[in-house]
Amino acid sequence: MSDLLQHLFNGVTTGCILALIALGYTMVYGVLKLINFAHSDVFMVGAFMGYYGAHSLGLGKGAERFDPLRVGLIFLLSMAACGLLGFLNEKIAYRPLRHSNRITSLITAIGVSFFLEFGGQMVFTANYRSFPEIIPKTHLSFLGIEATNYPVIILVTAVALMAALSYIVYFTRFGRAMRAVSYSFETASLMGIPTDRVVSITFVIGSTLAAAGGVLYALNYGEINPLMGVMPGLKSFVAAVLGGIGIVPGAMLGGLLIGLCDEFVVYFGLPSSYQSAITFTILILVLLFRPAGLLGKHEPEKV
Amino acid sequence: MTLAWLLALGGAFGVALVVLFTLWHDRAAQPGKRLATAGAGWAALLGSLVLFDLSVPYLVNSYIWQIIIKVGIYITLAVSLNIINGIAGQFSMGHAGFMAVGAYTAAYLTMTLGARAEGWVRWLPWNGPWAAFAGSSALASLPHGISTGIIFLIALLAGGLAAALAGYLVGIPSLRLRGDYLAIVTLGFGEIIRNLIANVDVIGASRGLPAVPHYSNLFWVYSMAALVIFVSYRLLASAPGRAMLAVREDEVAAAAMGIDTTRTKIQAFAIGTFFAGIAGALLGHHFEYLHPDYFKFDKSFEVIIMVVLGGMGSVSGAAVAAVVLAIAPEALRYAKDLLGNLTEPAVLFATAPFILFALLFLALFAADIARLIGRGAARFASAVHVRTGGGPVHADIARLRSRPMTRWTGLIPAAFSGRPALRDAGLGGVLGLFAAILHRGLIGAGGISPRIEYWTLTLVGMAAGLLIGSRARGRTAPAAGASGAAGGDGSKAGLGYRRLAAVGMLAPLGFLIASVLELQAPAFLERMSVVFRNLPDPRMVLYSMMLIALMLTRPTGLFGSAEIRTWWREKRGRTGVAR
Repeated sequence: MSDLLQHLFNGVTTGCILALIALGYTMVYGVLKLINFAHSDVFMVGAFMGYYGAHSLGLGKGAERFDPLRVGLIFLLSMAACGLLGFLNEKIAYRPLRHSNRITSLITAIGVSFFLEFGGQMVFTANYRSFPEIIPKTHLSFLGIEATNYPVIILVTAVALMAALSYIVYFTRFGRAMRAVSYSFETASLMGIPTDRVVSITFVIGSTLAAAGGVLYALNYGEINPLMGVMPGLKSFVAAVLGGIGIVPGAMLGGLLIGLCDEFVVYFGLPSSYQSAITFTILILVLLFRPAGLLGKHEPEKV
Repeated sequence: MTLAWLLALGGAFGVALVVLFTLWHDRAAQPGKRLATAGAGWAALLGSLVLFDLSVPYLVNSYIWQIIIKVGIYITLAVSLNIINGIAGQFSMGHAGFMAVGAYTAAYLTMTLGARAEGWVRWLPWNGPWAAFAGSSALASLPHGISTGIIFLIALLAGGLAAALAGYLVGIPSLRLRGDYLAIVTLGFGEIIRNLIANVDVIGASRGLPAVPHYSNLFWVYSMAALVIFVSYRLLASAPGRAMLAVREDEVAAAAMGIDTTRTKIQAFAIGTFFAGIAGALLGHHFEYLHPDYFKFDKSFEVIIMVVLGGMGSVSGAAVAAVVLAIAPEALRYAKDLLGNLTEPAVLFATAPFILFALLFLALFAADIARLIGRGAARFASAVHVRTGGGPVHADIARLRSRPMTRWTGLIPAAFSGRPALRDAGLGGVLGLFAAILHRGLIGAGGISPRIEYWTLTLVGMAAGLLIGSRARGRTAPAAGASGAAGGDGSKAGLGYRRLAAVGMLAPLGFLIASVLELQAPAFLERMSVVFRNLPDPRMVLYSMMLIALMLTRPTGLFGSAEIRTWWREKRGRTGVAR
């Protein structure tokens, strides 16, 4: 029983990080109908910015005691840098292609993704680096679960960020504009909504969430490298599709489910090398039987 | 050696024959004649490939030989993906997975059945016990080549069929999806296949499969490349191929015309993956070693770049792009060696144009970013101005606010658009500066103060650039007034006072740059050399930049045809996005 609880706990932790990334995918897809492949690499850049932030703020060797100011600064720095990256990405690569075919944008997105990955290899080198423990690690045990404080921090931060995002999307003027753009780009622009700005801000918000996810992920796994974004990125994309792409709560649900699913591969004794195969099998099954996702409504295609 | 040259000559003759037969084939009207010319063409092709295979290894070194083989395999890959992505318009991102299926199947066959077949191969007429009496090993090796050839052909076909089967199985469910979903699902299937292979112990699992026999040679590689090109062209002229084109252009309309779209798409998928499997098999028997990591999705991505660069749907484009992209990394390696020795004057001289363009590119990019920031600041300022109840927005702010960004940020020609004078002066100045640096680096200045030299040459370059540029522009737009002597009244041509003043203001800047360069140049060059020497493989970065630039400027690719352009221009409605 405690074993099951342990796996559930681990799954929810991973799922929260995946959900943070999935939100970026789903919001961008919502407004632009574009799979932003580069999102997983913004996540990677976020982790690296966290790394450099930690080093420049004197936490490069790890912290002896919890210093909320500096940890907060690290998160803010990483999120700001990635927000800028997401903004530039949209401005330079995607905006000129608004009019073109979806496949053109998709290829561009793949191009940007590979540019960031391998450009990252040039700038950051391809080595694995260990991410400093910017918050001292302590051991916790409750309900028969053995854990460090990191998963708890991840859970709290992720839930807080998702709550903030939900507030923005459902209770602010900008959120309403974003949902309108997501519903119909043209109508929204006719109604006087500055669609370009909404798209930009959507990219910025998605990228900041990915950056936070990147720092949390790096903190949890303790290791970063320029290709670290690929697998979590694909998984969180699957999560976004599973929950219903374009739907904000769907991404959160999907992230949790994929995280749990990954963990249960281990729980049921399958080799962990099957994890990504199973994730993709889920994706394919979802697309075949419920293409709109768990929370989505199916809309037949019009000619 | 002479013999090798003779054989190669014979091969070239054979290729000429192929060209002739191809031309003849197009003219020949009667079906019987067409069959005959096609047969003769193939015979000539295969014959010349055999001759090349026997001769070329003696004529080139092993490095070039490797590149030649690689080019052939890449052609097969790119043209096969073009059948799926280009001709049928189904964006598949899992090509590497099907390659892996073919590679592993073929390798498994040659390693097991091939070894067992050795037994009966010995009894083939040309390998019988009497072969030993022939005495000459050269004579004995040719028949042996034939028998291993038979085994390899069987393995190739089996690899292709296995991949096609995998493609069929993958295609049935996933081809119901469209566009980006299909891309993701095929990517997923590619990864699943790789994942499964990495867990099957018989074929080495994640350890890799060593000791695959080295059967791939120029003959096999290029005959398969020729086959896939031939199949593509015949496909384009046949009913199923036309159906694929129709599905690509508009699936709904195609279905309305009675085309079984799912069947058509699956056909394209199966044909494409068949040749992907064959390419994989060739690859495995060339490297003599297989590893699941080799078939990661960046391999698929590489093939996609070839197809996209060549122009989706264009068979020749895919083939040409495959050749270019197979050779490019080698050229890049050479460039890297060159750039790693920047401090040598000769190298500096050779690379000066590239460095110049790199500097220009960086300067333009910086200018665009600065403009972006400036525009943002102006927007902010005017917003504050309006919110705080200020009067009419200041003209400068309004102008800055409304100034558009260059459409293709950072791409050199466009970034200069609307700023011809800046372009001319900048180009001339940088050229002058380089002339000065080169002059000092190569010859050394006799007694002239270096700063004066840099300064003068930069200025002279700028002035010359402006003068030449304005003259040139004056010629192309005579209405604007060619003399330009009227002064700084904003006339577009000629060297007005305003421009002279601008040059005067830019000159101190040039002086500053020159003196910094003079002090820092050697150290800077040394540092750059170290950077270039330690650079990891820049291939993927360049590929991705190329892809982005291509999509922004010419999404139909280099050889994209007109029909495909309509496809690319498609359907604002379906994107759901308007400006």
